[in-house]
Amino acid sequence: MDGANSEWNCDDKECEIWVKIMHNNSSLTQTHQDDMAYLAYIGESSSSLAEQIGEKLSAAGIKCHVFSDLSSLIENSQNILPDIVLLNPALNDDGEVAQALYRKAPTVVYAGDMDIDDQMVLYQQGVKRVIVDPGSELAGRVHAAANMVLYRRNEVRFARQQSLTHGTVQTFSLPEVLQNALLEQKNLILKIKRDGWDAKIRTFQGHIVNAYTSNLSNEEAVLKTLQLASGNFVIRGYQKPEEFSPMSASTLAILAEARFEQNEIRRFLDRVCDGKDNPRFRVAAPLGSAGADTQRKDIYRLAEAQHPFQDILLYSSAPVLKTVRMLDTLCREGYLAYEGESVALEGFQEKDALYFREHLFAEGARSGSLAILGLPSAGRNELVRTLAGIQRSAVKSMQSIDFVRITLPGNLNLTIFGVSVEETFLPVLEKISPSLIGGIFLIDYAEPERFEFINYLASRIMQIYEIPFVVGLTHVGEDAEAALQQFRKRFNLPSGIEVLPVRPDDFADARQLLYRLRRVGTENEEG
Amino acid sequence: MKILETAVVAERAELLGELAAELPLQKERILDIDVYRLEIDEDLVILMYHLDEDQKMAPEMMDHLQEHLGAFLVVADNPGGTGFFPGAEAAEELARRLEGRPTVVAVKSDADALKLLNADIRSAGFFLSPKGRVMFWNAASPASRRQVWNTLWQSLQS
Amino acid sequence: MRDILIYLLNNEYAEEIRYLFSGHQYQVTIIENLDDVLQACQQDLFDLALVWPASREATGQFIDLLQQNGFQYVPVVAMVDENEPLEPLYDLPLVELIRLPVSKQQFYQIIEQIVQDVEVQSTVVEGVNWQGSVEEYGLIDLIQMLENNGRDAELTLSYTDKSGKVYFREGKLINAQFLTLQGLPALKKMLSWPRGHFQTKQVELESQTDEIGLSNQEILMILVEKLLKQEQLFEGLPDLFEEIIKNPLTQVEGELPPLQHRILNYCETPITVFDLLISLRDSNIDIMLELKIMLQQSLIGRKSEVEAMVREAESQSGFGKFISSLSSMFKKKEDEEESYPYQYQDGNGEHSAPRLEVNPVQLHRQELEKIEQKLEGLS
Repeated sequence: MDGANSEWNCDDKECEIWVKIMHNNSSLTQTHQDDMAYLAYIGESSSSLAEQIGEKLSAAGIKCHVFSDLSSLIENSQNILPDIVLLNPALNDDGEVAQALYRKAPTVVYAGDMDIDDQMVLYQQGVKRVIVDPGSELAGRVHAAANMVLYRRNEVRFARQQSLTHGTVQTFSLPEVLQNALLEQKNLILKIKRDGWDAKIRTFQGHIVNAYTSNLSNEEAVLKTLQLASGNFVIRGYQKPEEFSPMSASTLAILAEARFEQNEIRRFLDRVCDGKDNPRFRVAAPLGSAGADTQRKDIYRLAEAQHPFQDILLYSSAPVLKTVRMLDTLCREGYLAYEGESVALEGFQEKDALYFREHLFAEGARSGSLAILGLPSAGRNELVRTLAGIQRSAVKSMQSIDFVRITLPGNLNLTIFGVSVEETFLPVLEKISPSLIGGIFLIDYAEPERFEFINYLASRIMQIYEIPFVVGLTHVGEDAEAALQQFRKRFNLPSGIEVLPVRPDDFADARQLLYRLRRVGTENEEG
Repeated sequence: MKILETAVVAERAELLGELAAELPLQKERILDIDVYRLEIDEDLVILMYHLDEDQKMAPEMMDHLQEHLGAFLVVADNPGGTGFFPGAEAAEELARRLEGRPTVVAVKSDADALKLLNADIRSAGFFLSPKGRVMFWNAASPASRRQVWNTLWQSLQS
Repeated sequence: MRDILIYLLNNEYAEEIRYLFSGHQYQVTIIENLDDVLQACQQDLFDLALVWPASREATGQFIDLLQQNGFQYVPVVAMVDENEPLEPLYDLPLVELIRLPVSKQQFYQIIEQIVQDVEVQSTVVEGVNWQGSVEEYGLIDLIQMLENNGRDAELTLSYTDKSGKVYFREGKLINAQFLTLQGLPALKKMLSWPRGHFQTKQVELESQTDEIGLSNQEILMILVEKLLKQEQLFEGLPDLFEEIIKNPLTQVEGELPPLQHRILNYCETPITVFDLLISLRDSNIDIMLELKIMLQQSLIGRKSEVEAMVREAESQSGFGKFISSLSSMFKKKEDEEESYPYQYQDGNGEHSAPRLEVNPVQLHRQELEKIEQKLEGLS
């Protein structure tokens, strides 16, 4: 630490190193003056290693706090969120708690040795970088990793904001951007993004010369992108002496076709969905053999997963017109229904029973059990009563268990157990497990503080019992889509398990849950 | 998906309407151009840009479209006249720009005159250029109108 | 879908690169020569650049080249061979160091973390709807786009420490401010910025009155006219970003007109023509006209040339020789190149227009049959 004045404030749990010298790494100097130094938390039980890392960071002008246990690090980060966390995983005896930290603050995890699978788990949980170095270089590498994470999250991001034109599709529609490119003969690269969906369009002298999304290219890719109702884009001009365009359509033709497609979409929405701009659909009948066409099945599954119309349009593997027309056909043929339309008869119908027998019940079986798991606040009891009430069956309650037996068309018997996960419930589950055909986890979205506990529980149970599960999210408020997104961010479910917003007192919602039961890791299978 | 772009110049706007009487055309005005759309199916769409004297296209827009236009249709009346009509200049300029591309001059004839044409000329018209024909049609003869449209696009065969 | 630039320094790694990028949605551009890097960056929008395998020297050169040419927004990762030390790379502005060999899974995870971290949108200030560079969207573009948007909006144009605002009520341009200027004069000042940043923001402007009183169409016509006139006047002037300075060797005879006097004051220290234009509140056309006169009179000149003249004058006793060379100093050099955006030079150094080759539309037999059937069915 050449020329550094160090000042140490230590107690048994926390040491502060604060060295007021500006580092010589240009990457960290541009926007952070000495009064805006980065703050790093180091979670390390070895005081010598903590000291080595701390000194290096301090020499780079980064303010450091050292914690010898994870809980004080987390507690402090709740008061003042650090710019970066450097964590020895040996300190992390509670994976769930640490995971919440990774999501809040960029974290570098380091160790002398770590299995590659464990490293992957950390990355999936949101760790920015895992440094494994058994040698004496560890402190240096951790310092370098911290520097690089800070540099890219601040300086590089700032440079991108300054250098790239960017905005939201809601403010300036993409047809507008392309029209301007056409009239002004611009060479532009547009990258458009929305929730994991992205597209790239290139214009040369105002001509769209190529475009692609994850599964479409050229004309179809642009037309799909032009229907995007929300999302972000970045734009950058480029220079090139010549281009070959694999597309034969002019930008004018694309803009015109997009307008014609928009007209058709409008007609469909007016005719089928009461003129709503972004309606939802619900499953009215199982697709069965009518779903042989992959694109058709894909659209059905999107509607089934409660994606609103705009999302179906975007995420469907089919081009725009095909998507709208297939959706129209699915509605006309009675497989899907606009959510606002009332389903003719409330209660399980013959087709429901058929679906359950084919997809949920064991072969040849006439009876099965369904477990509804959740905390009382989640509406578990109401959901059981909704399912029972519609079939005019009486609910029996025994301690923390609700129990009802309903008869479905075709002489099928379904026993529903409502089990509170607040009490000891594993023995109950164990007893009914031989007849279980599925499990519903009901989670109260208004109680986020219980998410971690339920997440842990749900993951464990889904691993133990090899039956299909679904998660019903209650009390999501008006913006169900945003709630789902938020929930997905905070909840780590096994792959294939679906989450639905649900009103426990609504039979249609309850029925939906049964249609969305999926086994772990089978997201691409027909349910 | 394929979008086939076609430039259309009509002596009179009604003539285009007559020629396309049965076609389920949709119309939109985009960047001051009347665009007609004929959907063959979800994978093939034909867009026609209607250009006449009133709707003379800006040269920049013409520059933009030039490389993309697949075919050119001139709809004319009065074969016995001077050949000049209000859109003739636009047609002339377009013909020069689109040289070598499928072109049809669709001349409206009266029903009796059409009957007098021999069968070959009725179906294939007169030679205009290697990819250009002069075709004759009449509002009362759907077959003659259909033949104009078919001829216009069949030269685009790969 | 990510666009990745790889600066490949050793071809033996090509196989490993192919393996690592297979199966994911990456568009990879491999460059083996540093000279080709700039062209690649000019022609695409990269999410990430990798130096493979990285050495201190080559990585440093690569980063310098990017930063000196306006591509500092491209994050650079060093892929370091297992036998190479990492430490020499620590002080470079890198976003990550990855030790080779690396598993595909791990590589993918690290790359995705970086791309997420540099994501532009994640820190967009609330209320700011669109921002970017005036190189892509100038004032005239933005006026038209905001008009079509039809909402109340505030447009801010900024360059270094100067910024101006344009206000729109329901898409109609109602006012503008730049320096102490208001309305049309302010708009004219912001008209032809070749560099700078813009931001649009949705705001409530119900109470603001229309200070300009012209339709957007009329305003645009005035601006376009102004733009054309300005472009004519630019001919013969130093490049907009070339520094000019007062010529200390020329005596000012008599009293200068007020604008020339102000220009001369600004030129006491080197200043670019563009900075001069946006620093003075006078109209750009007036400034440019005066600049031309002052250049002809050698009151001011290009910084490099004035400095050379001063050095020459100091080293030579004959002042006459200096004066004689002055007359040729501000003449436009015959071989001087102007910069034409989106225009390129061929091998003979001549400008050539951008060329586009379009895949001509062709119909297959089946498609023609479909058309025939459709027409048949209709009648």
